Amino acid sequence: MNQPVKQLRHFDDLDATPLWSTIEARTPGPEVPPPVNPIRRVLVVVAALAIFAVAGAFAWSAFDGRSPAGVGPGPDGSGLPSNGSIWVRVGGGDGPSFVYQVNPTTGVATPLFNDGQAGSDLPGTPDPAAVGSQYEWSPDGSRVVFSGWSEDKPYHPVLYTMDPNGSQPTPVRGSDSRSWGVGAFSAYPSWSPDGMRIAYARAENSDVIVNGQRGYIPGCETSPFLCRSQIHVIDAIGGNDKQVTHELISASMPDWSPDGRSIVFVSSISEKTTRIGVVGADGGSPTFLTNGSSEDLLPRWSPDGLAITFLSDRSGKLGLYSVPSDGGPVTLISDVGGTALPSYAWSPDGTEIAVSDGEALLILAADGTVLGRVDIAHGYDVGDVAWRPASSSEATASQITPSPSGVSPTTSTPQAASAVLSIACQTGGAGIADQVVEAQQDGVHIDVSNPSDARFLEFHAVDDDSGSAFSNSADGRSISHALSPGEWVVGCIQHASQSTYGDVPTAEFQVVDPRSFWVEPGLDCTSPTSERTGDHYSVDGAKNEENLRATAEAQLSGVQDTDVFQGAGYVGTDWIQWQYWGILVRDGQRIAAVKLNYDGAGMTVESCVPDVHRLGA
Amino acid sequence: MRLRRHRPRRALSAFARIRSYTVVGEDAVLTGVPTRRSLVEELYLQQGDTLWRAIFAFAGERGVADDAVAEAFAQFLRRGDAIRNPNAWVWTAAFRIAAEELRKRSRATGASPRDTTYEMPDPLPEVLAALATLPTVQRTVVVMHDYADRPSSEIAQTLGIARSTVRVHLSTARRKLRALLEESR
Repeated sequence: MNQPVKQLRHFDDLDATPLWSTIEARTPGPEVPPPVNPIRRVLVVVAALAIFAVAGAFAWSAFDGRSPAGVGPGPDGSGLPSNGSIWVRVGGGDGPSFVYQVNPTTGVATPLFNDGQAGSDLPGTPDPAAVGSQYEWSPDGSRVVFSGWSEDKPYHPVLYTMDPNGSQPTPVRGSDSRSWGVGAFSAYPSWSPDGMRIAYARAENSDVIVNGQRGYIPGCETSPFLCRSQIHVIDAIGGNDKQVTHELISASMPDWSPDGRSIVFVSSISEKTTRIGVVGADGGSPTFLTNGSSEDLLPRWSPDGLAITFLSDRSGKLGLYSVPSDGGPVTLISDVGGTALPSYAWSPDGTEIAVSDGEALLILAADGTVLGRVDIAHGYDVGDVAWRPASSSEATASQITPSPSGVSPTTSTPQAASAVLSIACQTGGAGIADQVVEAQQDGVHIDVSNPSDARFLEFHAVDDDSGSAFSNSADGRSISHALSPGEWVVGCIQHASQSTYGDVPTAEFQVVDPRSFWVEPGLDCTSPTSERTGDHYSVDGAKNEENLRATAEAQLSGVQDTDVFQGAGYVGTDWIQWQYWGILVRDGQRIAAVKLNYDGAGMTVESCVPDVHRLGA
Repeated sequence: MRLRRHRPRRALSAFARIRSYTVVGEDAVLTGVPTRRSLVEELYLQQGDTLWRAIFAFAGERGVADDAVAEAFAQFLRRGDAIRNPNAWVWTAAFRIAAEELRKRSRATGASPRDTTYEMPDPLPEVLAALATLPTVQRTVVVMHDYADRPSSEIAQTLGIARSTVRVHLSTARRKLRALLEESR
C-alpha cells in the first residue's frame, strides 16, 4: 500500500517549457562600475566635510531682499520662523546626497543628514534610506513622506514616511512596488489635509522599451508618458489603497486640495504634452484646466485653494505658471527656471514659494518676485524642495474622534508629540507583547513583564497580505520611533519566512491611528479554548478568511455569525506553522484584534485583544 | 545590450530625465561570468525539465511552473557561490516560489489557478485533478518524493518540517491519491 503512486510517472510524458533563455534574461550581468577617480573621491569627502564644518555660516550673498527681523524661536522651539522651514535635497547622481533645512527668513541652511556616501564620519546620517525624492510634509509638520528605495532593492521606488530628523524611514504598507512588475514604482506622494491619507502615483507594471530593449528608465516616474501610472490614495499608516484616476495613458504627480475634496494631477497625452486635471478624492470623472498643448508638470494647489500652480514649457522656456482652480486663463508667475526646474513648494501660509532651479534655492513672493537666493549647491545639483510647516502643539484628548458607533476609544490620554518609544524584540518565533524584552518611553523603562504595564497592542491587521512592508531596524531587533500626535499603539512583531528563499527573522512594529480601534462591550476573548477547529488555508481566498472567522467563533464567546474576520495578515514560521492575525469586524466596526495559530493539525486562537491600550495611557 | 541604472536621485529631476541612462554593451555585461553561467546551465540541462514537470504537477498551471523554475535558476545564477548545494537549493526555491505564487493568486482571485486549456495525455488530467484536492503540504511531499525522487531530507528542508513528518504526510497523500484515482475510473 505504501508504494509510490505510479500514475505520477505519466508526468514524464509532458514537454517542459524551454526556459534557459528566460533564465538568462532574468539574470543581469555584473554591474560595470563607473570609473572611480580616487582623487575626486577624496575631494568629494573633503568638500563634504568642509560643508558640514561651516554649516550655518553659508554665504547667502544674494539674500538681501530679506529682513532678518522676526527671527526667533518658533513654536517648535527650533529657532525657525512661524512660517516653517524648507527642506532641500542637494547632490545625487554619482556623488553624495544631502538634505538641508533652510530658514526661509534668513537663508541660513543647516545640514540634516546625508546618504552616507560623503563619509560615514559626517554628522547627521541617521539612515541613508532617508535620502530619497519628492519629500512632502504632513500638514502638522510631524512626519515627512517621500519616494525612495534601499540600495539592495533598486529600480522600484517605495513610499516611506519618517520622522522630522530623518530617522526611522518606514515603508508605507501597500505601496511597496518591488513585487509588482517591471519598472513598477510608487512616487509623488501628497498628504491629505487631515494627514490620514496619501495620494500618490502608482505604476504596477511600467514596462518600457528603449532603443528596442525592454528595461528600466531611471527616474522615469518623472515622465508620465514613459512610465505609466495612475493616481491612488492609501492610508498614511498603510493599506486601504484605492485607485482614483483611470486616464487613458497615465496620471501622475498628484496634489491634494486644501479642502480635502479634490486631487490635482498630470494627465499624459503624448511624450511631450500633458494637461492638468482635477479629480475627486474618491475618484470620478476629472475636469481639465489646461489644454494639453504643452508639457505641464508638478501641479500644486495654492494654500488658499483658489489657484493651481504648475511648471510648464509652454512659452518655450521653463516657467512657473498659475491657473484658477475652477478654470480660467493661465498666467506666468516666474520664468526663473534655467535648464531644469526640479521642484518647488508653497509656504504653508501661501505668501511665498520656494523654487529649486537646479543650481540654487530661490524664495519667491506669491506674485513671483524674487525675495532671495540661497547658493546652497556648492557644485552639486539642487533637487527636491519641501516646505515644512511649523510643528503643531501636542494633541489633546478632544482631537481623538469617537468611533461612529459612539463607543469611545479605550483611552483618552493624549500622547506627547515628543515621546520616543524604543523596544527590543526577541529573535525567532512569532509573538508580540510577550516577545518584547525591553521597552522604554522617553528613556524611561517600561516593565513589559507586568501585564498592567505591557501597553502594547499585539498586532494591527490591514488589508494586505504580508508584513513585508514594515520597517525594520538596523540590527533587526531594536526599534525606536518618535510618536506624533494621534499615533498611539506600537506592537512588536517577529516576522519570518516572508522571503521565498529563506527565513529571515526581523523585528517590526507598526503605529496605528487611534481612531481605528475601540472595544465592543460584551465580547469576551480573555479565555480562548485550546480546541483546534477549522483549517488555516484554502485555495479559495474568501473561504480562507471564513476559516479564520469560524475558528474565532468556535473558540471565543461573544463572536457572532455575522462578524467578519478582516484583513488577515500572516506569518509563517515555516511552511507548516502559521500565525494569522486580523480584526473581527461587526457591522463595519472593528471589535477586536485576534491572533490565531495553525500548527499543522488545526487552528487555535492564541490571543484576542479587545482592550487596546495606548502607550503611556 | 542593456540599460544601466544611474543612481536615482539625479534622474528624478523633471525635464532632465531621459538623458540619464547609459547603454552598456553586451560584451561588458558578460565579462567575468562564463564559469558561473555554464555551471548553472549544466544544472538546468540536468534537472530543468524534471523540475518543471514536478512544479507543474504541484501547481497545475504552466505559467506557475515556468515562472518558478526560471526564477529559481535565475536566483541561483545571481547568488553565485553563496549557494553550497545548488541542486537541493534550486528544487527548494522552485517549490517555494510556486507555493507563494499559488497563495498570492488564491488570495487575489479566490480561485485555484488550474490550467484547463492545456491539452495533456491521459491520464494526466485525472491525476492533476486528484493532486489538486490534496492540501499543499501533502501535494508537495507526494510530488517531490514519488515523481521527482527527491530525498526526504530535501523535502523536509523545503517544507521546514522533520523527516518523520514527511513520511506521515507522504503516507496520507498516497492513500488519498489512490482513493481518488480509483474513484475516477
